[in-house]
Amino acid sequence: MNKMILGRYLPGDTWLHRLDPRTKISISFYFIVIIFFANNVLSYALLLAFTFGVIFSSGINQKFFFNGVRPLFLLILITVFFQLFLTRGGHIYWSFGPFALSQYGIRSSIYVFLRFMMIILMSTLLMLTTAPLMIADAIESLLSPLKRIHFPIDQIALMISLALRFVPTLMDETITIMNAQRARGVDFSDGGLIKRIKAMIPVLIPLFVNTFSRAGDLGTAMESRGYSGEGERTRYRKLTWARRDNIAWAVMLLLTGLLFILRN
Amino acid sequence: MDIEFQNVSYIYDANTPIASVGLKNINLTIKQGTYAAIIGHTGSGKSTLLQHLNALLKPTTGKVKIEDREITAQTNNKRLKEIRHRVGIVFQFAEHQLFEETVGKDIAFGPQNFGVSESDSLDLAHQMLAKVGLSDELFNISPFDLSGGQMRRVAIAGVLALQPEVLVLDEPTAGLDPQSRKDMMALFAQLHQEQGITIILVTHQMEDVANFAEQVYVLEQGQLIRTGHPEDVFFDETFIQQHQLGVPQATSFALSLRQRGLKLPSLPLTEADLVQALTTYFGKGSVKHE
Amino acid sequence: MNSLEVQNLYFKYSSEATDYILKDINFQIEAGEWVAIVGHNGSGKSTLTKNLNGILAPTKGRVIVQGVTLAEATVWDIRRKIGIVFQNPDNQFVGATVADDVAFGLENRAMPYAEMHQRVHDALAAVDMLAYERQEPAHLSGGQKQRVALAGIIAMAPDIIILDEATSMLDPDGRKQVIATVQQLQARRHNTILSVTHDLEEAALADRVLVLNNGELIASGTPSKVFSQPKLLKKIGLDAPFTQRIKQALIHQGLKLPDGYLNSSELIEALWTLNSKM
Repeated sequence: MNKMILGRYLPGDTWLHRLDPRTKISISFYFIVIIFFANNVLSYALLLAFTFGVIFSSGINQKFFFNGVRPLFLLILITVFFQLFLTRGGHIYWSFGPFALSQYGIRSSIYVFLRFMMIILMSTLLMLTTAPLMIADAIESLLSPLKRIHFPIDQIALMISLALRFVPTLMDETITIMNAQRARGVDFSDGGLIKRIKAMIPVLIPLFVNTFSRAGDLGTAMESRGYSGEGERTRYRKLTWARRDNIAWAVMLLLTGLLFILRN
Repeated sequence: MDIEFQNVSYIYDANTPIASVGLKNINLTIKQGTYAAIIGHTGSGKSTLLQHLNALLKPTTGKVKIEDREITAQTNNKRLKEIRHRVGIVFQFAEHQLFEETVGKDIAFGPQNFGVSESDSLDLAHQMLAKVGLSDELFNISPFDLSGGQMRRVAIAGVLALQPEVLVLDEPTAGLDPQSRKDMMALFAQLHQEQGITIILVTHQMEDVANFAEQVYVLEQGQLIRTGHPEDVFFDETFIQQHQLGVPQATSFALSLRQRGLKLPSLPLTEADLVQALTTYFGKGSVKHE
Repeated sequence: MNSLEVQNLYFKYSSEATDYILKDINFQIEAGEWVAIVGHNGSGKSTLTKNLNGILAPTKGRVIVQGVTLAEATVWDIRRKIGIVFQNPDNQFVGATVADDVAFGLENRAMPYAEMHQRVHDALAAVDMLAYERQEPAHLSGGQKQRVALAGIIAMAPDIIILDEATSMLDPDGRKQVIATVQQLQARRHNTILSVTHDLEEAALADRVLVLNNGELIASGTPSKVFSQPKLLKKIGLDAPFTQRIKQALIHQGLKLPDGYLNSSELIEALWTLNSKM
């Protein structure tokens, strides 16, 4: 389980870590969009080169990264499998009922595989190098135009930030309670589904009770420190757009230009 | 039931970039019937070691022997139940494990998991409730209606109900007021004396170590750096200073007295020792004077 | 002017409840004074704290903070004058990082960006936690979290600091650090300090001790006066401080030691004097 890296953040100080989270998020989406414009060997080669270029220059632990994303490739392979046998066109090498192995099928399944792979690699890289809090900040900033229609962005941002803040605390607590119940003879890995769900009751009840009491304490502390839920608040953390963010976007535009030259 | 660690190491998040050492090459033996104390700064590996005592964690390398059972990295998760029945753990802030509708049912929960019948386990629950000093009137009320201190006692009763041969206590008195703290430490001492239960106390309270422990294990950064009787450890000034450990108040007070020039012949471990030492010191002095 | 004044305060959670949790509480604290409220768990100490800044509303009686009577209209002003460090280090840590947490109260006041950063920086320096500025709470010890909570208060610069069992969940190292930080603060800023505790070693640092039992104030006076009443302490289930216990035992053994509470160095001096008379 601890090899899984989806949704994990690895603290660090690489150039990818330093990039503004808004840049990272918007570029990730942008990249996903332009992937769909690739339509021949050369254009795919360009994007692949870009993807691996980013990964290798990011300074992230390569072995950990590729081991971590490996389980995700199983999912892609299933999709690719359908693509491969359900697409017809060009020369057909083999067929059985609705299934066929065709020239188009092979080509499009390779393309689908590459697309998914690049999306997964890039988004995993984004998560690994961006603290969840920064992602929350970026989303808040990107959604801030909605304030004009009185959408409570501030409150939602505070809620997300509190939720992120308490995830590790609650994880620790869950582990402690599970250990305590294990020590009292509960076996979480034993028996069928129903038995296992039942075994979770002695964990979930204390967890709920403690979380409510935490929430009560937290509310008291927040109110005592002047949080009223209304009125103007300023923010300690400010996202700052730096030169490297401009460079990142320039690279993306260059990539787009090249892509459109190389595609059919 | 003896507990023995042979070259035990434990690594958290092994094989990832965030891997960190929990325990490093620990060798120790805790004999049946000992009152042992494990001390060390926060993060020194006390909790990690504690979880090895009943196979909640398995060593990454090395082995833990609990009587004749050997636990290594390869040990199957099944069949660990027997160990957990015989080694009871009271975790820090144990009141967080309460979940049943009534106090009685919660105490009986453990024994039932280990196959004790419902009626027998409820009988046990009545006994244990009395043992931790709570009135039987609380038996049928919700544990969540109790005060914090009472909840702690109920949780401890729930572990005692397993009738373990080894009782592991992780900061059992943290956050309690002085009177409850005293009562609770007296209860553990009684279990140790009357029933010969092995007690393994993880604590920051050096007074408790001085008053009760027969053997002290000192951890630092996942390593066992010292084993010995409380006197051996606390009276070794160089060692204590080197590792910035606390000593019992009585010991530190006597050390300050010595520094001031009072020539106390021996160092005390407990308050009673200190009073005794001072009385003897001044007693002799006044005899000389007359 | 009194910094904090409580007049005939009664409190119960609901009007149907028969018993009051706090009964006829009266006390005044002068500006710059350090007062400890002691009592065992469940004596009503924390309920009292919550009544002082309007988290709970007194059923009867008044709370006056620097001349302002606590009421719905004044509650936010009063909260600016009082900073509270609560018992559980985790449950009051609001920010995702140390600096964010210190900034929380300032954000609520809508403080401008530059001033806020300056204040956060200074406050963290004051509690010696600057090196941890960007750390997440999960990587801090309990004592460090409480020091961050103190920094959050320093940043707001209130006159009154309440320590509501702020050290009871900490290990001895953490407790020492937090207390030392509070002592330094008071020496420098002359804050009024109200420490609510069941640890009499901590209460010994106060100028004055108030004893709370079953919701009533049953005694008050200097630590020296309160600690030299073993019967009183026994009644409320608290232990006399270490030096007091030793001194009493020695007097019982026939040693001639001065009356009143002595701290560690005073007791050492007293024993030294006794020694030189031999």
